[in-house]
Amino acid sequence: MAAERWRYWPLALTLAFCVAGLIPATARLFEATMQTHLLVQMPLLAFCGGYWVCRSARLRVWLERADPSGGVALVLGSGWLIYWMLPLNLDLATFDPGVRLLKVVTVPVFLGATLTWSWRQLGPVGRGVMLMEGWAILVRLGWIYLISPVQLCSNYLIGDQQRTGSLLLGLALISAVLAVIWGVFGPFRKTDRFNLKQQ
Amino acid sequence: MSSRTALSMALALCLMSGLLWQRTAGFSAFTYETLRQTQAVRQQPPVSDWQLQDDQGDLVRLSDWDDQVLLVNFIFTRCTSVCMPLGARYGQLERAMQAAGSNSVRLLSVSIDPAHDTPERLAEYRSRFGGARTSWTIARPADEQTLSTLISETGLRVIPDPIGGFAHSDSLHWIRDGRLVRISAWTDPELEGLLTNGG
Repeated sequence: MAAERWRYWPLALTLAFCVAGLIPATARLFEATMQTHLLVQMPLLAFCGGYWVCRSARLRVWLERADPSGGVALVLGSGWLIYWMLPLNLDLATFDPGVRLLKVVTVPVFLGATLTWSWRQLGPVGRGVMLMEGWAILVRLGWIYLISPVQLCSNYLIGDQQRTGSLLLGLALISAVLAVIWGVFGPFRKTDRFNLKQQ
Repeated sequence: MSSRTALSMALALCLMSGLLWQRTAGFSAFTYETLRQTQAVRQQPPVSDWQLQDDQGDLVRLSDWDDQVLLVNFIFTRCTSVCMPLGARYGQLERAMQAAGSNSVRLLSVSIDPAHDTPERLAEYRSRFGGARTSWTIARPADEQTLSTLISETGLRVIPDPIGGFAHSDSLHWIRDGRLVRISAWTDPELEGLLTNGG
């Protein structure tokens, strides 16, 4: 019996996280600095949505009927990603309760779940494009936040903005290094072994 | 890709573009500050009769200057950043108006730190830039209620900075006939022309 109930704890955790983003007391913790808002709360909200897709077979069946290719999900997910990258929306989410509600409800669904679904359904080329574009977004956003002489968000000081920009660029650098390591020690290595065996 | 998928993707693209277009006021505003500027011109929100105390200790209100256009900026005397060039700019504008002999516009600097900015400190701020009281009023909100009213009516965002001051918008707000009609940048070189021609 205990094992049965234990199954639902991760799901409850994700729902609790979303609700925590709504209650002003806990929401303020996440929205305190731009780094926590953009780099902690947003990815975790998206992760919750992705988790729901991976966990729920019923949801996957519905998605299979609604969007077998993953293309619609990709368009929705990318569009919503651009929407939430605007400094305007980050600002509004901090002091407008309507926008905060919109963020907590739609980011898991239209950003996390959609991009996870399209990742599952797209082939290697589609996935490659997603990774490249995602990396490019990190670089562009980080660069803008770092070099902008103007404070872009009315709620976050320019120092905060620049730190966020540096973090984004740092993440992009780490991903690039990881990708290179994977490329060198992953598929290419297997190709070499295959060729050697052939001889 | 089936035609149904293509159609769904096209619809999703329209939906996302529509949402972005609505939020950014027609792709014109990507930050909160630019959104405020666009909304001021389009919606011209009314402002109430702010009760202020000027640098001589007299109580004044916005309706005292009903026949003039008000050009309002927000300052605090402890500011070491933008309030200094703002004051210098207002001094320039005031001299330009005097030279042209126009008095259809009144310059108004409102302090967002009424607790610290007593009338004496406001007078000291004026003495740095040398502006005449007849055309440039420097005042603070008469009470906390007025401060929160003017912040909510103009959509101003004031956040504390790490050195004990505040970060706030340095834009100039045009108030005509009890409405906020425009928000300009203080660096705009056309201001002199607008002031001498009656705003």
